[in-house]
Amino acid sequence: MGGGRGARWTVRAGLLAGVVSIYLCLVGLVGTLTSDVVGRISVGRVFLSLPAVLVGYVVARPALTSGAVRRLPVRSGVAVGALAGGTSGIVLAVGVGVVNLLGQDTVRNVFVAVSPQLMNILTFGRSTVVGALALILLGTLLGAIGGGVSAAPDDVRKPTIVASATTLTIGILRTIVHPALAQLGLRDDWLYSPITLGLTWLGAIVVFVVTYAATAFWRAQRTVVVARARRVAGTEARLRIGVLAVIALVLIALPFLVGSIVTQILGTVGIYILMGLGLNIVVGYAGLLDLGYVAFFAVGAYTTAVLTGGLRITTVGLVPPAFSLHLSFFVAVPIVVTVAAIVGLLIGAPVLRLRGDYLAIVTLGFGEIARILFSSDWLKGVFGGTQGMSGVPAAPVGSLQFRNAQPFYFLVLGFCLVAVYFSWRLADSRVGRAWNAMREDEQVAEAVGVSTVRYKLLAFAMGGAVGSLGGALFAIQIGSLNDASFTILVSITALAVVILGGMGSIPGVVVGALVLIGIPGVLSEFEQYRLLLYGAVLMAIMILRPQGLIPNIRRSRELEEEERAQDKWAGEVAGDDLGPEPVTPLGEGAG
Amino acid sequence: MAEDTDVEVTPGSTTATVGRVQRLPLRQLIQIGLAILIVTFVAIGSYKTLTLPSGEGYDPSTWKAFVISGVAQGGIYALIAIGYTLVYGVLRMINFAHGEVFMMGCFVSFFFADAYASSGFLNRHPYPALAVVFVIAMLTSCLIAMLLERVAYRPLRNAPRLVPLITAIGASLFLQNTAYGFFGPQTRAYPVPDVLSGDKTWTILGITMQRIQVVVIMTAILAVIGLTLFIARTRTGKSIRAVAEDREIASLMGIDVDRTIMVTFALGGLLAGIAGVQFGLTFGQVNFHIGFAVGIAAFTASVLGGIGSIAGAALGGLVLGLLQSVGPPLLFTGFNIPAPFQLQDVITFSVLVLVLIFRPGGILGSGEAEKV
Amino acid sequence: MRHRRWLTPLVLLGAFAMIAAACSNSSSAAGGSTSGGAAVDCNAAPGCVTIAAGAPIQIGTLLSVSGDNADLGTDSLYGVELAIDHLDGTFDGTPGQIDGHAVQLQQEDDTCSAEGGQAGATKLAANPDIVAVIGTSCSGAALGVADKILGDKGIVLLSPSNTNPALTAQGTHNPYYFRTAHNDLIQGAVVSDFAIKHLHAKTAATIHDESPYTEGLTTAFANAFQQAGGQVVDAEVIDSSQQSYTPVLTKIGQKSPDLLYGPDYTAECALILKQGHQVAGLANTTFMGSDGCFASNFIKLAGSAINGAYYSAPNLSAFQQKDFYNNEFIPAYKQQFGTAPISAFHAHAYDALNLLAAAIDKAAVKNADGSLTIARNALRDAVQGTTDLQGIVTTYTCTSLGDCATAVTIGVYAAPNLAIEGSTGNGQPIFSETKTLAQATGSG
Repeated sequence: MGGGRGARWTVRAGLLAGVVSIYLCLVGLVGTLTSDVVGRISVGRVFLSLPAVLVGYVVARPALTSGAVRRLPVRSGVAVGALAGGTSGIVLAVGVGVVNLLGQDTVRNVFVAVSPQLMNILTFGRSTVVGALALILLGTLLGAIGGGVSAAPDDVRKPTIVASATTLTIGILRTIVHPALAQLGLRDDWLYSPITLGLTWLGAIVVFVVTYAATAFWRAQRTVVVARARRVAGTEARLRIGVLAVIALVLIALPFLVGSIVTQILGTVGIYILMGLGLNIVVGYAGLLDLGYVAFFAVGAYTTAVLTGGLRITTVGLVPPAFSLHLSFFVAVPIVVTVAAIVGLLIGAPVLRLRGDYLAIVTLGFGEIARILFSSDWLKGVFGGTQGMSGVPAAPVGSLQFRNAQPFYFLVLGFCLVAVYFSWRLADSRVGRAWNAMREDEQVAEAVGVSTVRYKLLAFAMGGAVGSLGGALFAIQIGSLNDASFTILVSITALAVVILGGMGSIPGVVVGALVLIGIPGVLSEFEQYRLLLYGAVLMAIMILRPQGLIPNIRRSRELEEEERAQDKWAGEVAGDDLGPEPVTPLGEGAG
Repeated sequence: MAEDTDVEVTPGSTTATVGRVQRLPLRQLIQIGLAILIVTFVAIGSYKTLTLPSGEGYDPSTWKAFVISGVAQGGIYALIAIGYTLVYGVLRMINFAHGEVFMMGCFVSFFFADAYASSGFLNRHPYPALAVVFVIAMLTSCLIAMLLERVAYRPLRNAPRLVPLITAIGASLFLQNTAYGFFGPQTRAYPVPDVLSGDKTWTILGITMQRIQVVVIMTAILAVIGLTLFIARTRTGKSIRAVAEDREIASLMGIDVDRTIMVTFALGGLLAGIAGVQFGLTFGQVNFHIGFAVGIAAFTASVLGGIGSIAGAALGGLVLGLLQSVGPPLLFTGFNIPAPFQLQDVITFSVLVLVLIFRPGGILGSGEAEKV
Repeated sequence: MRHRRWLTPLVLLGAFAMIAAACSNSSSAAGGSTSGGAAVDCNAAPGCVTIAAGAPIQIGTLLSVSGDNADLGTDSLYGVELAIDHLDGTFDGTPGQIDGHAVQLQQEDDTCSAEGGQAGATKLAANPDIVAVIGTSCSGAALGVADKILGDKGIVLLSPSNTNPALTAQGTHNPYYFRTAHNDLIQGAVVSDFAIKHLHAKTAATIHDESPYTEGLTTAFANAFQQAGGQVVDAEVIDSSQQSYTPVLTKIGQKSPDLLYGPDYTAECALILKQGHQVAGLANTTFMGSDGCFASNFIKLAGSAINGAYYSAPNLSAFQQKDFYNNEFIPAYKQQFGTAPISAFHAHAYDALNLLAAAIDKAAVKNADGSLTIARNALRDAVQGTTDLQGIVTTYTCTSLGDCATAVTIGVYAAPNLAIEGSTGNGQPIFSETKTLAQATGSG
């Protein structure tokens, strides 16, 4: 049985899946996410089903045994998947039984998510025994499906996966799709049920079939289509420009398609793209792990507020700060950037000799210090202290107010493009090359005349300047500043954006921001679980694909070099007597 | 720069000579300038505070209270800081999620303590009840620490340094929010048995402190002594030292590296669990968020004292606790800065920066013979 | 060289984007105007809402239903739901109607932060069928954020629990913003009166925790106390993510104030009590706090240290409709939501919905075909024109600056006899004052 892995392994996988299911229930994902995806199947139920399907999929994967890749026949795949899924169902059923044995209320004293709603979902509204049996059955069925799909030939498997994922996504992303269709004047009550706000069964089937067909078609005809595009375009360059033009058109048309809610979320995504690009300079290009990036964000926001005429909030209303100007936003921006660059120098100066983990913790401290100073009673006269500031003008230009979702989107888009261009040129410039050298081996870089002092400071200054743009735009977007917006979470989010996308990779930053900010923004139910998902994503990415989603090739190779350098430095610092490094260590190879 | 020409590239000595090139005047200038700035500020601030007229300044009993408070808080940091230092010693990595390990131990032990309190067992037989509560906390923290190592860190054992660091941050977020999902956002009242309640004190060497504070300090001292002996004398301790020194060679010598690292995490977890219960007994509260601030503080403490050194971690904890409670009144009152404690972290991190500039190994750092 | 080719399109795109922004603004300025009924001018901004016959009236809620302040928002939401239930005259679990239309809630989360307020307000503002919004829970989500976003669309925002004075101050008040909760200037003044009249305190110290609510209260108290001749000897700040407040308390103890006022959140209130009692200098100091301390487990958290402390809160027993509140509202709450009230503003939320319902009834034009047309400005005027509306808490008369509960009764409770679950005693305050805003700010 099984692709050479044996029943024991399959059962163990099933047990693990069952534990994961129980975890999902206890942490609240199953019970509280009640909006419907398809028909009456809620997001929570989808989460509940995922472990069973995934474990079925995984156990039926082709295995490498005795030097050959052994594919399972579909029937075996189904059987293996069913076994794993069934085991997972059993674990879940046992959990339900235990809860009922101990009494729901007792369990709820510890695990607050064990509510009547949750138990209802788990037992399908029936008695414990029937519900438990149903769970086991469902698990088996889902596992079987997962296993079947996994063992199916690629031509069936891949389109099925894409189609299922797309259906679920369209079901969840009603907030985006619905207004877009409405804007285009298309009726969509066949697609989305106005009652459940999820997909109708008809809509789901249509989406599934269409996507399946499209994927299958693309798989079959891909080379033909691309070749034809190439022929039409003429040269490679023209093709690329063509693609760029299409992207540009989409970017510009987007706010008109998707409605103001999503446009506003895209505005926030844009702010985090700016933050990500700035942090990318510090972490990705120069290799300095900065965990206190929120300092620049705060500097950008508060400086903008003070320079453009924002007011302090007091108990008697809004009061001008002790020092403020009424500059136009666009005049203030260069000043803000300069101030941020200076702050970057101030932050960089003390940490010049630190590496890695130490740098991280110190910069973390600086981030906290920034927040503390801006919200302190001591500086209340300028920054409003705890109450914060408000009334930041929305960068009016004539009659144009940039706080509305659409103009703001274009403002952010403009800044992002500038920042992208700047980052891109920076990477290939002399400064960028110096950073590469510094990153690969600091001591050798020094030896050939690259002043690490200068370039580290430059990294902080430039990275800080770009990040402050994010803060400035944030001030415009919300118009109100309060220290709750400048916590360490901003730094961690920015870091996650850079990491997820791939350190040193500009398109990676864009993708990272879209995923980490865009998706939770659109799926507002997930707001509660956003940080949980961030944590899971960070761990998953680092373990499974540390170079990020869109890797920077050069950086990936260098990531391996870094370990040795850090080891050595850490060893020196801890007093290890490592002795002189041999000039050609054994087994170095090309790594 | 003149020093560049001093570089001699001879095989076997590249490190030594190139190392000197690092001491560029520019960097040193900046850092010395900074140091002078900070020291001047500290000196003036302290002077002004200490010379305030008696109505506005602080009398000796107040300073004493500040110091005691700082030392007691430092004791809590110490146990957790030791956990950071142990893991850093063997893996050269900050286990960012260690604060969450501490929190989980505290939280899970809370449920038992609460049950005992409701039934009256806690006050009837406080010592057995507390013993059980401590054991539960230690077990939980141990388990979580080992799980963390197995799932999140072991696959990344040979990855570049940045990778496990970020994984640790992710793990910290994950654990914290798991606790939030499981147990809810509400702060729970950690039951304190009457023998340890806040108003009961012990007087040691003429200083009167709360009983629980004495317990915390004593535990920290015992932990340092015990752990140091353990590392120095036992076989497992030797393995830990070997793995910390050089992982590859240690495995070549027949040491089970995986098991040793697991033991290290377990030790850190045990101490964190103890710290968890002590935290609960000291403050009478637990919620999902306590690991965060305490974790950062404890890590700062371990770096301050000398990462890789157990005594250093405890010392760092002590210093940090004192900085947090004595620093703000000492430095800021003289300048008439309102709400000086709000700026407590400014002091902490400035001191950290200073220490790392001039003594990157921490207070007990370079030159420290006894290390993990 | 090939790279240069990318450059021009990129820069042109940037310029184009800015130009596009200019052209787009006109399309986003228009409000949600829909075709109006007979006597209403729906072409004037901000337009009208039309509810078809049989369709529900959509009301938004923008409350803190997740995170650390979930109790506050959820409690208010329960109050709103109970109000909807009682529209038909009884708490029977079946919702009632306004003018023959059911009420449907679009629930958004303000996450007690400016971003949450903005995100939630934008979602609500984008729904052209939203008639009005009840929210926010936290002042930080409203001030300059939600009140502006909704106000720009002409959507009335009615808060059950915002108490920050800045929200209804001249110059900061948004014309579409109102609240049934009290203005903290009043609560600060009452606390000060209690300190002087009842405690005979001459010196006081304050502690806030860096959140707008607590800082607003301490400032309001300090101003009132100083105006009445008292002296504020120390104003300290604590960090809510830490637990060791002994140094701060020791510093305050140096001055041995008669009163220590720390209107913070529950966990901190408990810690201040427990640690404060260990500080020698505070041995003769009275501890006070406010309703932020009132989570359901406050008494358990504080333990025996709570004795001798005082806490101010809306006087739940001075509720205008005491009998209704105790005999019908509370039992219905318990029955429908499985718990006694989890925070302090459920009654204010209940009253908010009723205030809104009355205003809708007044401003809506009932068309012949059974549909309803509500002009947004007419609704706002109706809300602002609310006069002598009887609510559970008090009688509401809205001012042009948005405070509807003008005469507010704040009670001071002697711990452990607090008006929350788990307390012993009759839950009655030992001191109670009714003030108007004018009286509180000394201009009345």
